Amino acid sequence: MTPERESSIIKAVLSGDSEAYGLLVEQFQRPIYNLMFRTTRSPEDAADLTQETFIKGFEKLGTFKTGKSFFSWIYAIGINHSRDFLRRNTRAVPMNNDSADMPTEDPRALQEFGRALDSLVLEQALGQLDLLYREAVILRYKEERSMDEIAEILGLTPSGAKMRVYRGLDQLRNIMQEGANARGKN
Amino acid sequence: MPEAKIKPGSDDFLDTDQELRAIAAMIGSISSEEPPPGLSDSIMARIRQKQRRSLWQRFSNWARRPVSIHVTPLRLAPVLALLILGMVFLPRLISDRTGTVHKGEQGMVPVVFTLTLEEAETVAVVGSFNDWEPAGYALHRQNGTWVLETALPAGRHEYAFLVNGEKIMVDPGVQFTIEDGFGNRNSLMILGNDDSTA
Repeated sequence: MTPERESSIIKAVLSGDSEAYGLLVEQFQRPIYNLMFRTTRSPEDAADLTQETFIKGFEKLGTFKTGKSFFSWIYAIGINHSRDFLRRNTRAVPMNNDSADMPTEDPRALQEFGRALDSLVLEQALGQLDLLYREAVILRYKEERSMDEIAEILGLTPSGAKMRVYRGLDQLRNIMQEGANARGKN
Repeated sequence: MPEAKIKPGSDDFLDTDQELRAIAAMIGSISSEEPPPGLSDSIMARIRQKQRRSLWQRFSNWARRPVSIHVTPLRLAPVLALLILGMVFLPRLISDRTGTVHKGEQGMVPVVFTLTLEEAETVAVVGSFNDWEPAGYALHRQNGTWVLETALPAGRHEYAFLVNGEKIMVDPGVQFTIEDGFGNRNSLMILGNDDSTA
């Protein structure tokens, strides 16, 4: 969706055509749902939080500054909503502890298994990161957003966003290395 | 760890750190979760629902909110004038709309006298409106019924039919009759909203 198209949709919604908001929901529901899924590890809770985020966005759309990115704006609302959820739910969010079964000794299957294991280890490590570090690295390398956009979403300066991304990656490395060391001892 | 191409950006820290570069690449290859089908529809349904509620809420809040009105005699004068005009003209307007009989241009009310009496040879109507003189008030036979269309002043009228020039009879189609003071009864008719004798 081009910025012009996004801007015209927002204008239409603010002029009373609330159905046009559905186009923005369609466009951005996936990253918001994934943000919520990473936070809750529950499809039901993730759907509820996604719904609440978009409703909050609709209600606050009058405060949206034209020329800004709707993605950045709604994602910032989503992150705040995630943090509220975590504050309300003091219980630990369950980690993805799916264990992978070792396949046969077929080299290709073993290679696939290695990749799956890496991915599993990474997702578990991401789950242990603080939400603001986790979302910084996700926004940069998964959603492919610029440092300026990440800065806008997280309320930082661009250099602050860069530092947040770097530290997020570094913490991930430490978590994964600690995990590898623990597995090595077992 | 897998080696992958990172999109150019301002993350120059990746240039010198192969491990971080690999982790960044892995993050890029994490599979996304699919939102449940119908999620956007349910979001829009909730928004529609909230909008309906918020319209009612806004009206309800407005209706319950106390309102302060500051009045000066000068500002009140036109309102009082309108109120007085309303009190004078509204009852008239209402009575005009609910009345069953409409007055003519000169305050005359159209009236139709009818009498079904086949054996009669002549029929006229006499009453307080024509000094009990039948001249000019003869009824004409139409399909077995004697008929006279005329107009009378608004008000209360006593009348009777004069059959064959000699016999007085009350109007059988009218319930109200009144003593004539000579031992007979006359029919009573009130035209318009004025029940004073015309």
